[in-house]
Amino acid sequence: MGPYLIRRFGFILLTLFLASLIIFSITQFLPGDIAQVILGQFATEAAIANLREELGLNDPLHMQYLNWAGNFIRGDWGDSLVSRTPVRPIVTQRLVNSAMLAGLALLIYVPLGIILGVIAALKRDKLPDQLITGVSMAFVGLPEFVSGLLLISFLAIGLGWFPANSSIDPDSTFLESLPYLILPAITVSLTGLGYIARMTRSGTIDVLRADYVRAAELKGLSGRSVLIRHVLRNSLLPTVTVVAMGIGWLLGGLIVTEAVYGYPGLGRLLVYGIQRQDLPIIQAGSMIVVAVYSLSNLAADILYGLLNPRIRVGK
Amino acid sequence: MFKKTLFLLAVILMAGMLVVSCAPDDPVVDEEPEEAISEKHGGVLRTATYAPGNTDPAFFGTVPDEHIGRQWGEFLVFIDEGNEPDPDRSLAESWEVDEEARVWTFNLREGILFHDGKELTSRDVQFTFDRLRDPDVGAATVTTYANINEISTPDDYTVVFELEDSNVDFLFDIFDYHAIIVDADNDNFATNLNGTGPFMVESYSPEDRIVLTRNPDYWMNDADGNQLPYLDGLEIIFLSESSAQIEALRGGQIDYLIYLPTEFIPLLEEDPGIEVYQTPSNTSYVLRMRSDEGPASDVRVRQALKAGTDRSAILDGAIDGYGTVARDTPIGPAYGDFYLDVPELERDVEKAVELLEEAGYGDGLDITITTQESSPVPAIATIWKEQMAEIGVNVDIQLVPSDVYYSPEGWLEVPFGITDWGARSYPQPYLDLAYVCDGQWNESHWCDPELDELAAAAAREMDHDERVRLYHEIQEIFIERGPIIIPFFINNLWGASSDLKGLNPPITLGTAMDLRVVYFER
Repeated sequence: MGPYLIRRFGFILLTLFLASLIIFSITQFLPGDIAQVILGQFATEAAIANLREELGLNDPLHMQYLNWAGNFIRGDWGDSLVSRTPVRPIVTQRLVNSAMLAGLALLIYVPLGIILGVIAALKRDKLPDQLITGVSMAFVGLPEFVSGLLLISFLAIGLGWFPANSSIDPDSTFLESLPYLILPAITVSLTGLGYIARMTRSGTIDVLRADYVRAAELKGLSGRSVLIRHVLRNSLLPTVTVVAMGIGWLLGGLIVTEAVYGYPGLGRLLVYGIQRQDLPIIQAGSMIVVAVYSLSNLAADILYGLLNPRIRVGK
Repeated sequence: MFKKTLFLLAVILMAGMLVVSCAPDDPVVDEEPEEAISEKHGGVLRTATYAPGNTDPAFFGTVPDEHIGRQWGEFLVFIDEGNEPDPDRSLAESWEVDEEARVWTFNLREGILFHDGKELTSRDVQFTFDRLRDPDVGAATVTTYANINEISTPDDYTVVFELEDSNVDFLFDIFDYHAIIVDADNDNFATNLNGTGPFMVESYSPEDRIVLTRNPDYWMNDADGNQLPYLDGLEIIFLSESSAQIEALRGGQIDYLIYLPTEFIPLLEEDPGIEVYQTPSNTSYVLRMRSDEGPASDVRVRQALKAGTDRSAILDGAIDGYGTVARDTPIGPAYGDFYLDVPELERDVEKAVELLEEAGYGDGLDITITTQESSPVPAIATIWKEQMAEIGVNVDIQLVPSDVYYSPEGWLEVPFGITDWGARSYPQPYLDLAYVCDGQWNESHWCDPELDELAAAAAREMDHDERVRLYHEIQEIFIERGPIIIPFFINNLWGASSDLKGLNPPITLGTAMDLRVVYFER
């Protein structure tokens, strides 16, 4: 396991390096001029030229990259070009917010998805299965700006159960934020639920056909015991991967949901950075998302190995 | 082991269900201030805008920039909701002007304090305007204030502006939204928002929100002698999605919105908890045609495109009719008698086709219009494209982000474009900036000596009736041969929760309401 982990971490570092190159290059191609954006459309050309010099935008590109990457590794993520304040506290605060939302969403949709998937598999091709599969796929297909606005209309404005907007004070604690997290969490869960349910359903159906399940049944074990001891352990393997992919998506990709609710997560920060051409924010935010993706994938692979000794590597 | 897993799963599931099923308590806790000065005092106003671009007044460029600036800062002279100077709400308590309108003397109110405790003196006013007209600082106001020869301070409370040429509109010029009076000793105008305004900045995160608290030393009192402002503070949240802003208003998470997209108006109007405010403005979307090169350098082509345009159809289609049909001149009905009230320009397809034939485009004409992505510009371009198709003009719409449109190669250069022009307090800046031959923002590159002469005369004219005559003549030129099509002037629209009182929407000017006198009704 040790050498395997070292190799995997090496790959993650390589991924991060390549990602940093790509992120840096892409930010160079954003349309418009950052100095112009900062000073507004009516600033004089002299003022713009001064600012470009001050921001180091006239240095050669590879120098700009090395500067940025070097500082980034040392923990200096640069200052926001718009506010001139350090980027790191902003990004980490948003990461924490995103993690709160992601945590709550996972808590809702993973268990629910697994249960629905198992039910669907056991009642395969019968009404409950058709209902679960149909409805959950419909939710997957429903864009978040539709489901989000529908949820706001009914649950927030119609019934008044939840706040219609989740633009929480960035310093609030998890408990203070909780009421504001529920609607966004349900919105993303509607999308995530379908994937988990489908994955669990097909995984469970495959396993139910396996010989060892028949053997266990013939051995006289109760249905529940077979399901828990023999089926689930094997059928949940693909689900683990889907959950891990979901973590990356939840932490950096909830752009639409965060915008609909005004929730201050990483996704909205990235959009803000792109709109304002605030390069340090785009760069730091994207690097964090890449890191989270890589690490959650690694975690999934390790978990996979623990659940299924046959594919354990490197020992 | 798997029993344990199952148990764990069950616990997680139950926790999840618990979380889902627990409805939150009302998140908004109305804390009564401990000793309210009057029953109008107290409460924090929450509002939302898209994120501001700049906090330094010299570089303000967007509506949120200005909106925030007006809360912590103030102007030398305040222009009121009816477009008149109001000394009772200004830092200057009185002013005098010589007969030629060249020397303006302002007397400052004594005892006004900046938020850091320093007293406002004439030196701060002098510094503010010197900074705004300094080409090395490079603010957008350099041209506006190029007419200022010298600013002097005979004593701590007197400021004298000596102008090169007479300017009867000078009071409006110093109400320019960049001209917030700043502290002469400030060393960082972008981060230290030290003003004399009714609210003080408590915290600011550009990507999230700005929180302001009541200025306890504010100088202005209401009619009963109680200190203003009434509100304990403001919380301005930065939400770029207008649907999120609207839902937050409907759901009661915010109390006030300064800009409403027209498609949401019917929804808000039927909500009993929300009041919609609406006033006509002089803000417009100017479809400008480059007149020094390309097809529109031929006046017949400009006239054909003007004749082929159905302005009221664009007003209805692009902003659901929440505005006034314009007459292709930058001077709109909001300017009272300066406005030339002629009947709506009727669409005349035959005349348009004829003019195009005369100009040699009988077989059709292909043009490209550069269009900002921000609403409602794409809608205006699309409707216009359909109208142009009927007179044989094929319009290709090129969509670009707003910052690309406003880059130097954009709006000042493209053959056809749609530029949004904000409202000014008086008509002259439009002419001086964009329509005289050497105007700084002469985006259409139009040069008409007759107009130049009239515009210069109007700027100098002290007699109101004569000035009215000059502006009317100028508008006739625009209607006859101008380089622009203005389909409509928009209405300014605000939304507020019904318990918010004291809101008084301005005409002509921007979207700012005076929040000093706004209060919550209990």
